[in-house]
Amino acid sequence: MQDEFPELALIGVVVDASPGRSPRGVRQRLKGLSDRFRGSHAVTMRQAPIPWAYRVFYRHVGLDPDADRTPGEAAAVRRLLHGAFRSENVVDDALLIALVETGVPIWALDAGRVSDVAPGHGVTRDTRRMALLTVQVAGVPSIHVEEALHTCVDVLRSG
Amino acid sequence: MEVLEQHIKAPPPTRPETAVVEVDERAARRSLREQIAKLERELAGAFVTAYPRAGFDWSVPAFAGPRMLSLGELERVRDDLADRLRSVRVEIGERTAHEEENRRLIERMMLEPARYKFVRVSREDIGERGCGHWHVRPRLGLIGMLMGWWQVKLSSGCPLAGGRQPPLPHTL
Repeated sequence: MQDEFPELALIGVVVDASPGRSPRGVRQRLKGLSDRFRGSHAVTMRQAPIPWAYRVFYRHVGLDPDADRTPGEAAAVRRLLHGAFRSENVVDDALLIALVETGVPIWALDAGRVSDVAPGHGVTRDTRRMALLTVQVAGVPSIHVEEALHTCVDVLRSG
Repeated sequence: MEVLEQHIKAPPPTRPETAVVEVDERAARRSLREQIAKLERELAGAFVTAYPRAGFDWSVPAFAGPRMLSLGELERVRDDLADRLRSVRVEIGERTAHEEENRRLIERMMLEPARYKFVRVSREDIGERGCGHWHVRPRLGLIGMLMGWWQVKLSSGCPLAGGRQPPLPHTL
């Protein structure tokens, strides 16, 4: 794996935060992102360096990014279908804001169970510490990954 | 005669040494990954060029689940991407040529509307978004038709949204 994808990295950070309803400021920020994100962005985004890098990685591991969409493109499609980035809760909103602003997808897991990563072991109501994880692939600069994590932590702490 | 015998007696040529070719699979895989990345960029460019035209097939079949692909599988991804890019470029070329013909037709319609009675060209026919169309129609309806007064009308665009459909009556 290291030989095949030398730039591939799993990067994470642990943050003290709890799930819950998004505060007004976060919802406003999401609304602002919705207003700035238009159909033309969705069309041209696959040419942008970071979405392109994730598409290429999908190809390299045998996935079709037009069938199994990359997280960034999936968010863009949802935005077009729903007419806006919908606010769900502070965790999902933080992940979405970081994704839309930087193009880097992040996943949140319960830090207490992070060693046992499996479906359904994500953040629950009882979670008090979260592990935010992201996958860096070739073509994604480290500064974008750091910015994505920083954005996510920032939003979670505001909640 | 002596010369021939000498040739026959000559020792048979030695077998050529078997060349041992070591395939550097790592380099081959790296090269294939780079080719896939380049093709993906070109396919993205074709996607943007094709917009807003619809009806293209962009899919490149995936393998079962994400995993480390073998050299042969990487080659197949590369070949499938190249095939898809080639077919899409051909289709874009054909469509743009057809759209160019339609643009010229609109120009001719504007110059001589009487020669193109009731001909209609939509915005989609010239590769543009929207529902508008150029339509050669008689001025003042039947009178214009009888008098040969023809003109090109440009429609105002998409019909207004009709809103949600009324709920269907409950069926038993």
